[in-house]
Amino acid sequence: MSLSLWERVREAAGCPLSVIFVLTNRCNLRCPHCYCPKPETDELSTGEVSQLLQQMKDAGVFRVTFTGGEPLLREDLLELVAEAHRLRFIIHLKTNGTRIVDGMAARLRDLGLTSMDVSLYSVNKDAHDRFVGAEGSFDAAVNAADAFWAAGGDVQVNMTIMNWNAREVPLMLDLCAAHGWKCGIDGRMTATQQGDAAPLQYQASLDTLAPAIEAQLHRGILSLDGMASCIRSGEEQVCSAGIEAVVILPDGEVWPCLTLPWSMGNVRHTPFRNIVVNSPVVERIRNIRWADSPACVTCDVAGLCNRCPAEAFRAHGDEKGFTPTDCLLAEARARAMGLPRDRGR
Amino acid sequence: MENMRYEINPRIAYRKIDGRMVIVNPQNDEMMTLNETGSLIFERIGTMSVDAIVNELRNLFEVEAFQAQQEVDAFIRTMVDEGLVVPCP
Ligand code: SF4
Ligand code: SF4
Repeated sequence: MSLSLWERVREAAGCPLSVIFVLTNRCNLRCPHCYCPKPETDELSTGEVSQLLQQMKDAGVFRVTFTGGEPLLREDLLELVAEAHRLRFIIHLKTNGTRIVDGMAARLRDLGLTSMDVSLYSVNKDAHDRFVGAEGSFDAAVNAADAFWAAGGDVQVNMTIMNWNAREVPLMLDLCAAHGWKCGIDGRMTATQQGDAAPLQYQASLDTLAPAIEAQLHRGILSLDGMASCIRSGEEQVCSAGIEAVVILPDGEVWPCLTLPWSMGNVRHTPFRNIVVNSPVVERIRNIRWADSPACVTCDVAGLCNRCPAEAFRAHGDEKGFTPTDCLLAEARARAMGLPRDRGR
Repeated sequence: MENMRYEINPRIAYRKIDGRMVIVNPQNDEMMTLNETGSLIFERIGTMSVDAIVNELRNLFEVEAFQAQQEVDAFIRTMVDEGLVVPCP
């Protein structure tokens, strides 16, 4: 199998080329499905983050995504964006948009921010505000997205679909198209980072997910052809957590993925490069193969499946298994594509 | 082009990995790797004029002025076309 240029450069650098940087767990909204823990943490200081950005640059990292919680609750966010820009990162920001007021969007763009992801749960402002628990949030998010787009930045609106809002997917696609934003639709709920399964009650059902996916296929904003034609070899790795990207948590802990609670080390005690290069945690992830779950070997929708080891680990303490959510999502994709099912799992 | 100065597009990301310059343009998410000469020229854009870069190339690789000039011009033209390098105002 030939490697892409990104993969070859990653091999040469010996480290992931992307970092998801959770700057804070604090948030001013109260979305009930949130996976992020609410307790305050001993956050890395401005100086610690700046030092770490330098270490990431030296290791070969190109992209940094500042997220939270709500990253704008950090007083030093502008300073950190400017520093990341000085160090020549491609910088993404994931925000609820409510703190991006009074010229802040243009300022972020001037300081070097490449793109901004804003979360919207409904095209109906009252429904969105009710869900996130704060009046005015919808208008603030839309204004933030518009202002950043007008300043020349890329904007993506992310919508997590649940049974109550999935029917709005075509309307959300219309809204995004009208404003020039990209639209990302996500159908998977995950347990919280502390392992609380409460958010899973919001997982959309098969009957809701399939039409929502179908709407994206119709508009051409999603294509599953590549996945559908993919034949999984039993030896194929299941996921690339810790390989393509790693996550840095507010207190400096490094995880392979936002939902996989395996500590690779802490940047407060160990330089970034020493944590990510030859990490035993990443080795453990590399060893998760499709054939580890016999049901997946004979499954007729395996090509359409993004089996998630983190969810399996949280549900059964075994990263080599799968969860009903994996099967639900693969099944929904198959149904959205109108694929005949000829074999059961 | 000789006395002109160029600068690296401030919105692109680049890293030196294994002795070679690797560039990513966030506009199209495309990655490009430069060879040894390209890396050398790229690293000097922004701090040296085209003339100075040509001179350095001549000294380092012991090539004729004309050949060095052609290589630097062609490289910079490609970089400008790709939006990776911009003329200094
Ligand atoms: S499949 Fe699961 S563990 Fe792997 S990167 Fe995705 S969310 Fe993380
Ligand atoms: S749909 Fe379920 S059984 Fe099929 S490959 Fe995915 S996790 Fe395995």
